[in-house]
Amino acid sequence: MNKRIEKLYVFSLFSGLMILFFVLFPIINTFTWTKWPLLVETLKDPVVIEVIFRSIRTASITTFIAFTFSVPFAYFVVRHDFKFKQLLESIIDIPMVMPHTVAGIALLTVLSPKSFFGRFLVDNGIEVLGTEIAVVIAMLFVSLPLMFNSAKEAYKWIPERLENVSRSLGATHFQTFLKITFPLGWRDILSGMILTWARSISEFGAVIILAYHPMIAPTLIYERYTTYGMNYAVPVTIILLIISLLIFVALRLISTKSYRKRV
Amino acid sequence: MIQIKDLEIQLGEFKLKEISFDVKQGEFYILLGPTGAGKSVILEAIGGLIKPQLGQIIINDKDVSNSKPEARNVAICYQDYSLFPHFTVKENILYGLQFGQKKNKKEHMKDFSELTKSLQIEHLIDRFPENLSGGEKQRVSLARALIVRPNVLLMDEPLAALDSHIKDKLMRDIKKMHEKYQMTVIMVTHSFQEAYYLGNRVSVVNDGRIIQSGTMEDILNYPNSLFVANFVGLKNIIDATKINFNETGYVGIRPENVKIINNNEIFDYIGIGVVEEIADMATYFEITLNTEFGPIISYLLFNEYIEGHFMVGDKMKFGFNRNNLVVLENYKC
Repeated sequence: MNKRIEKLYVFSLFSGLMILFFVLFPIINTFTWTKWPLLVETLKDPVVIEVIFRSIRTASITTFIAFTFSVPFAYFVVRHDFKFKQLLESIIDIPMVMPHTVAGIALLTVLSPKSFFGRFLVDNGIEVLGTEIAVVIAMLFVSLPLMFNSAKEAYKWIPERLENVSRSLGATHFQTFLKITFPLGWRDILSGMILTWARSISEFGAVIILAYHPMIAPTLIYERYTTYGMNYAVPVTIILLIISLLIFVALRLISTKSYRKRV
Repeated sequence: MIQIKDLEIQLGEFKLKEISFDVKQGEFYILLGPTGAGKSVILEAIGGLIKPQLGQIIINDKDVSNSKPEARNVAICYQDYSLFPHFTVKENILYGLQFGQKKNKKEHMKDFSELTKSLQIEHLIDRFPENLSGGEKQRVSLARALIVRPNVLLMDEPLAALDSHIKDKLMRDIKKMHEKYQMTVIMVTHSFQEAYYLGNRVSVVNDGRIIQSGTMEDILNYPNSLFVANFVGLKNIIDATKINFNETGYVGIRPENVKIINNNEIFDYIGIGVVEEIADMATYFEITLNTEFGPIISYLLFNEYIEGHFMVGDKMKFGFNRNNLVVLENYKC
């Protein structure tokens, strides 16, 4: 059947193409900027390898922590109505609207040895600033709302009646969560994990305030750019880009099939 | 045996008050009432899914008012089937067997085979719920509930979402299953037809209260209020003193027992009314007459009404017989 070509659809399609161009052009262009021998050399650079692995490691730890706290708490929030619920949800969203350097400074006021809490940590031999712990804290602060909101969305569409039926058939609340709620919501939760991981690995503003060293990939790219120029920044950028895209695509493929439409 | 004693539940603005009834072993008990009356809340309270503020729920001589749902051994079937979408039909049905009561696998499979056969879903066991029709889904939901051999099966409008021909078939099958397994059932419905066909006894619920309880015949023949009378299809309520049958108070007559007189048929009471409306209801005609008693409704079958025989505005004789009257005791208009 031939569909009539509506002007609105033509405009919509044009807008879509503009968006695609806007996103893809800089990414593809990055690959054309570098000389391949320099890229191979950068790949062999132990500093680069260490920094890339640190980025992946800290982003993964951040995602794990965000998952551990957000998944149960989001379940509680979705299944209960209580006073100040909206206020609580808004508070959790605050880091999303904060400039990231502001987030870094806010965290520094807590972790600095000049603050009560920072002094307490130093006195007890716990070093945070300038360590991977600080990197994870900075990443967690800015990415936690993404995990929490995704988990909330995952539970919202799962009818409470499914849980009621499960419990009436003899499953405890916890068994019901493990066998019904989580398996039905996990693909949406996984999408949240991808977002959290992606947000963490790309975090720069909050991290450099708490820990310029040990360096993560965005810090290294910034340093190489300001010290040596584009030629030395681009190869590291490409490596980080490829790794991020590979992990992103792999996780996206796993999380595409949701049970939403089946309920 | 299930006893519900003086249950009170507050849910926001809605309040359920003084809910008391008992259900005997093997009985099919109906909670009948309009949407929003509070029937499903009662059902979920029995299932432990809503906590009552006051009152007692006793199942098999054990007070379960404060017990968790999983400790009550009640199974629930919802109108929307609530099948687990990530499990096959077989996995759905066997779900409840992995908790609490332990039987050997052979016994499980025997129950499984028997139930799937009785409910005619043997050929569906490897499918996922998304590939089933509404009727099939409800059958699976029923099998899943029955396989755990619950103390009581709670059914929340199980037929409401089905097409009429599927509904009629499933209704008959539910009756057969009840007779076969002699299970205790509490079913919520807004359909008097379903209630009458399936139920042994009934409580009529409205606005958070039980208005009347009794056998189906009690409710049908002795409704205690205009609300119940309407709900059981007794649409014509008449001041008995106006019809000279030595009755006092009010009487009711079903629309199917009110006839429009074409010839010289004989009835115990004959009156005159003006035809206000003639509605074609597909399987019968609903005639509304304006009479000295107020509006009187008559249902005429196709062989009793020929289109054009009389029209809106015509004065027609109508009649009914004394033995068709339902005396409304304790009824206040």
